[in-house]
Amino acid sequence: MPNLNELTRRDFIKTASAATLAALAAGYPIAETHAAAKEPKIAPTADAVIVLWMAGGMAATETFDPKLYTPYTPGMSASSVVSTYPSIPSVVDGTRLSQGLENIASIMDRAALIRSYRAGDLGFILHSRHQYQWHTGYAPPQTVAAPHIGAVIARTLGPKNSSVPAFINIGQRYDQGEAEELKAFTTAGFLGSEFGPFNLPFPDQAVSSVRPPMGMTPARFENRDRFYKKLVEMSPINRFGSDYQKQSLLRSIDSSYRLLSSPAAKAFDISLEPKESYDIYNTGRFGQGCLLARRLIEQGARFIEVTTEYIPFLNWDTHDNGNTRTVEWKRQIDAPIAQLVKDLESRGMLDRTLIVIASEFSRDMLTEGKANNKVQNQVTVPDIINDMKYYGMHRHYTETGSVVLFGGGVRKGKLYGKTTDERPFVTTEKPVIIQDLHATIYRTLGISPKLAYSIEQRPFYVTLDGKGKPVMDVLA
Amino acid sequence: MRINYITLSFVFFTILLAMTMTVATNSITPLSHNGQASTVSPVQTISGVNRVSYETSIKPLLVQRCYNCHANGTKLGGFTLDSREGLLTGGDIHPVVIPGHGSKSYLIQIVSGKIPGQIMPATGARLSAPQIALLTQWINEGSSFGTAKQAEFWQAPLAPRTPKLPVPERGSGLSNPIDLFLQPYFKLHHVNSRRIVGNREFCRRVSLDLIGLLPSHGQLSDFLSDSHPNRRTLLIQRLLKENHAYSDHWLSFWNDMLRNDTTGTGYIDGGRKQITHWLYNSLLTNKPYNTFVSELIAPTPETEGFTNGIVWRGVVNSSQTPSMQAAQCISQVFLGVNLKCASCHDSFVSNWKLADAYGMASIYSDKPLELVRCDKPQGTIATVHFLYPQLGKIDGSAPKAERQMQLASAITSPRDGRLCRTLVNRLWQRLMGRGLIEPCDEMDRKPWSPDLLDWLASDFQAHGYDVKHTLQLIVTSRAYQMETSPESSETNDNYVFKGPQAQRMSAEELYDAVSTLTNVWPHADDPMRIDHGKIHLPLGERGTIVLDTVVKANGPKAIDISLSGQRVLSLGNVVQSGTQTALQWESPTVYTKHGTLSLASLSIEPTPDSNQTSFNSLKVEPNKILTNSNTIISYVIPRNAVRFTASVEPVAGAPAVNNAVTECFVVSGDRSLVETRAALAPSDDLMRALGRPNREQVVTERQSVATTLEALELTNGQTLDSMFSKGADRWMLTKPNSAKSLVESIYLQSLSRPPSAEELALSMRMVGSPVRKSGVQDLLWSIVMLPEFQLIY
Repeated sequence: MPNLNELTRRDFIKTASAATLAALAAGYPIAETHAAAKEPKIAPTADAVIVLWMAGGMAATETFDPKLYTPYTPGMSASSVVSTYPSIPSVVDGTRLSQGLENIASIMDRAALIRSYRAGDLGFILHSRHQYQWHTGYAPPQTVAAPHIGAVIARTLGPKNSSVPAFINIGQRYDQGEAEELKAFTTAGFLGSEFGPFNLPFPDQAVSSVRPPMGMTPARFENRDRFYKKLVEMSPINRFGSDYQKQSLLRSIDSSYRLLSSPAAKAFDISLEPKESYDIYNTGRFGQGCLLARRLIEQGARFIEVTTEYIPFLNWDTHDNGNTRTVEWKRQIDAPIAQLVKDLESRGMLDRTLIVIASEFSRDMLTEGKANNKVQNQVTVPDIINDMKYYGMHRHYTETGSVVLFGGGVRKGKLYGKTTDERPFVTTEKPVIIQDLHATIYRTLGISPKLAYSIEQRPFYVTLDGKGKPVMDVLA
Repeated sequence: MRINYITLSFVFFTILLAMTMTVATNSITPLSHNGQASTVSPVQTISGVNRVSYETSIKPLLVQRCYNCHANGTKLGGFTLDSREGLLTGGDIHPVVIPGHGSKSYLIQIVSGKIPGQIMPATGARLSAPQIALLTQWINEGSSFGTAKQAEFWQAPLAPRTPKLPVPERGSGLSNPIDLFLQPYFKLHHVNSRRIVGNREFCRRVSLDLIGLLPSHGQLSDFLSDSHPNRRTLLIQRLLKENHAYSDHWLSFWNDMLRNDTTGTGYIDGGRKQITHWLYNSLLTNKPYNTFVSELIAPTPETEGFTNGIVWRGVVNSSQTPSMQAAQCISQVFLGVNLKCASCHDSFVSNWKLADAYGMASIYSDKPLELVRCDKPQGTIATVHFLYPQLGKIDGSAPKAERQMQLASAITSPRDGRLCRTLVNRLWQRLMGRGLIEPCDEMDRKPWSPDLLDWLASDFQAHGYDVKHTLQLIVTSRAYQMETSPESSETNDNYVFKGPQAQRMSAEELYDAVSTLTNVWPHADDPMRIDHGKIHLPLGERGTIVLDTVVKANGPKAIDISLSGQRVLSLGNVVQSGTQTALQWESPTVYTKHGTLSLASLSIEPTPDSNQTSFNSLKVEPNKILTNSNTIISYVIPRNAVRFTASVEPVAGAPAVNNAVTECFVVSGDRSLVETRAALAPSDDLMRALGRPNREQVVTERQSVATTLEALELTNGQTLDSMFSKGADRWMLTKPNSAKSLVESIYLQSLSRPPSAEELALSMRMVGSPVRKSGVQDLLWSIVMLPEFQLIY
C-alpha cells in the first residue's frame, strides 16, 4: 500500500478551493460598482444582443441603401452602375430597400436604419483586419489581446441565464482562409477564456455540444459521473479537504451532470422546432443560425453572433458575379431575419433584445477604399461590361455602409444618416464610426463607453480610448 | 430546470480540478469611467510623509480630463498643462494654480463648481471629491511636475551583484546555495521549513517540471528501487540529458515569449516568419543564453522572425510598427521592461518616455523615426539609443545590422545584471509556481529576496549563461523539494516565500500526459515526409537516414544495415525523375540477438498524411513490402534489433522503369518520426480550450484557471473522447486478462502510485469482468479529471 500521507496537500486543497471561489467572484463583475464612477447610471433598454454578421462586405447599395437601378445591358459602362436591382418600398414611408428584402421591408417599422456607417481607414484591405476592428473596436496589431464585444458583454454583465453560455458564436468555421486572423479576435483576449465564445459552427449540430460524448448513453454518462464522484472522494489529495469542499465537489458534479443532460439543452436542438417554423428559417446555415439564436434567446442567452460565415471570395465577398450571387444571399437572410424579429416580438422579447445587422464594410463597382482615400485594387473591373460576371459590386468600399438595429430600445422606423446618390459615394450626414456604434450597443445594455478594464497597469476601454459616443437619435 | 450559472461554473472549477493554481492573479479589474480610478484613492496625510505623486496620481487625471483642451499644443483659454511653467503662468485671465494654496487656487475653485456659471471639466462628469482632494493636496505640496531626471518610480539596480553565501547553521546539512539564503530568510519571516516530498511525488514533479512528461511506469520503478544516496540528483541529471524531451517541453515556454508558432496571424501576407528550427536546435544544444539572446537581437535569416514582428496587411499605427514591436518585445522578454505605454506617450506607470521607446525602435528602423504621441506627430526625430546607455552606445549613423550588433552586445554585456535576473526569475517561477518578483515582466519591482535573486543571476552568468545549470541548481535545492505551500494571493510587496506552489499542468503538459496514458499522440506539424524529392527529417533531426541509394531496373539491390536501439524503421521511395515506380522490398528481415523477424509482420507506424489506405491498397505479403512512388512506410521494430536486410527492386512489369531514377531511403529513429508531443503539433480545439495561446502577443504566463468552456471540451470534446477510446483499446491489448493488473498499471502510469484498496475495488468493478472497453475508457476519463492528475503538486 502506498503511504497516502505522502501525497496529501491539505493546505493546498484549502487554498485551491478558496482561490476557486475568488476567481469565480472576480469572474462576474458588475461594471458600475466602482466607487469613483460618478457618471449617472445608464438604465438599460436591452438585456441581450444578437449580431447578424454579413461576413465579407455587404454592399449597401444592393441591400439597405439602394440607389438608381441600372439594368444590365451588354456594352454598358461600369461607371454608370450604382445599384443592380430595383428598389422596393418598405413599410416605412420614404425608406426603400433593395429588391429581394421584401420580408425585412415589411418590418422596417420596428427598425432603426443607419445609412452612414463609415468603416476604418486601414489601407490595403484585409477583410479579417476590418472584422477584427469591428468586433473589438481596435485595429490590429495590438499590444494586448483585445476582447471581442461579446466577451466584453459577457465579462461585464455575466450570463443572463445560468444554463446558457454568455457569449455564443454561431456559423463560423475556423479552418478556412484567414482562419488565424478570425481566431485573433474571436476571443475574450486578456479578459480570460471564461468569457470567450462558445462556438457552434453548424447550427444543426449544435446540440452535440451540450450532450454527453457521441455514442455514450445517458445511463453510462450517469454511471461515469457517479464513479468519478467516488474517485474524487477517495483521492488522497481530497481526503483531507474540509466537509465543505467535499460537499461542494459533490454538488458541482451534480450540476455538471445536469447541464449535459438538462432540458435546457433542448434549446440547442433546432430539429425540435415545429416544421412550419423551421421551414421559414431554413434558407441555409445562416437561416438555421437565426433559428438557433431565437431558441437560445428564449432560454436567456446574453450575446449571440450569427454569421453568414466569412470565407474569402465566397458569400458576401463578391469579387465577381456580384449581382447573381447577391440574389442568393438576400434570399438566405431575408426570411429568417424577418422571422426572428417577429418571433421575438410575438414572445414579448423584442423590446429587451437588440438585433444588429452589420458588415465590416460595403462594396462598390469602381472604388476600392474610400472615394477620397483609395487603396490598392484587388479586383479587375473593365470600363465596359460585356459579361454578367462583371455586373455587381466587386470592390471593397469603406466610406458608406448600412447598419440595421431592431428591438432593445431602438427608435422604431428611424432613418439615420445620408449618403450621396451618385459617385463619389460619401456620407453627407451624421457619419457613424465603430466606437460610436459600439457605444450605442453598450448604451442599450447600460454599459458606459468609458468602461475600462485594467491590463498591465493600463486602462483598456471598451470603446477606442473611451471615446465612443452613442448615437442617441437611433434610440427611443 | 434552471441551473444557476455560478454553481455551474463552480462545478467546473471544482471538478475540473480545484485546479486553479495561480488563479487569483486575476489582475484585470474594472476601472471607473475616469480610467485610472485606482490611482485616485486618497493618500494618507496624517504623517505628512506620503506626498501625492504627480506621475501616478495627478498626471493620469489631467490626461483623462484636461489634456483634450489644455495640452499637446492646444491651449483653450490660453491655459496649457504641457509644462509646469504653463501651469503657473495660468490662463488668459487667472493664474490657475498658486503653489502651496490649494483651495485658493482657481483650478480647485473651478473644478469644485465654486465659480458661478463655470465648471471644469467642460464636458463629462464632474471631478469626484477624492479627485479634488488629491489635486488640492498636490497644490498644497507645491504642485511639482515630475521630471525625467528625478525618477518617480523605483528602478532596480542594473549591475550584477554577487552577495556572500550565508553560512549554514551547524548541523543543518544544507549545502545548496538557495537553501543557504533561505535559512536566514525563513528565520526572519518566521516560516517553518516544510517537509520534503516522498520519492514518488518527487519523481513525478521533477519529470513534469523539467521535461513535461509523466514518468513512465518503468522509469518510476527504476527510480524507486535505486538505492543510491544521490538518486534524486542522478534522476535530475538524467532528465536534463534527455535533450529532445527537454526541448519539446521548453519549446512552448519560448514560443509563447517569442511569439513563435507554425500558424497564426500575419503568415497570410508573408508578414511573419517562424524561428522554430533555430529555436528548437538552440534548446537541443542548450545554447548559452547570452548567445541565444544575441542571435535574436542581431538576427540572422533564421532568427529574424522575432524582431520582424507580425505585420498585418494595410497601414499600421505608429505605436505598432514592426520596429516598435521589436523594441517592445525585446524589452519585455529579456529585460522585464514594459515599453508598450511609452510607445504612445510618456508612461504613467514607469519612468520610460516616448523618446526612449522611439530611441530603441530606431535601432530596427530603416529610416529615422519621428516621435508620434498619441497619433500626433511631434516634429522631433528620435535619437537612437538603448534604454540603458551605460551598457553600451548605439551609433545612430551606423548601418542597421551594426546597430543591432551594438544592442546585442549592450544587452548581453557582463555589466548587465538585468538580463540574467529576468531569466532566472522566470525559471524560478516555472519551477516554484511564483517568481522572486511578480509579475515576471516587471523587473522594477522588489524581489522578496534581493540576495537570492542577485546571487542566482550572477551564478548563472558565472556558469556561462547555462540554463540547465540553473534549472539543476533550483531543483536540487531543498526548497524545491518541499511540499507545496498554499497559494498566496499576496501582492509582490507583501509576499513571503514559504515553499513551492502547486501548479496546474499547461495545455501541452496535460495533452502529453493524456497521450502518455493512452499512447495516442498528435501528428507533428513538421513530420518526416518527402519534400521536393528528398526525405525531410522532423524538427530536431530526429531519425537518421541510414540508406540513400538509386535503384534501377537492372536487378535487385541488396541492403544491409546495422541497427542499435532504434524504435522505428522507415522505408521510402522517392522518384527523382521519369515514371513513378513502385518498389518491392523482398525478404525484409530484422535481426535480433534471438533470431529474425519479417519486417512485414511488425506493426505499422502512422505516416505523415495518415494515408494508411494507400498501403492497404498494396498487397503486403508476408515476406514482401511494396512502397508506392513518393511514399514512406514505417514499422515499429524491437529495441534489441541489430541489423536489417532486404533486397529492393522496381516492381516487375512497371512501365518504363528504365528511364526512371528512383531513390530508396531507409530512415531509423528512436521514436516516432510522425507522432509527436503537443508543443510540436498544430494547435487544435482541445489545446486552445486548455489555454494554448494564439501568440499574437508575448505571453509569459498562462492562465491557469479552469473555465466552463474548457470543462465542456474536456467532458464531451471529440479529440479527448477519441484519445480515451483508442487508449482503452490499447490498454486492453496490453492487459487482456486481468482487471486487477490493468487498474494497477493505469494508476501507476497516471498518478505515479498504485491504487488504494478501495480505489482498486471500485475501479475493478468499473472496468468489469471480463474487462469492458467502455469501462476502461470511463476509468481513464475519470482519472484524468482528478485534481491529483492535472496538478503538478
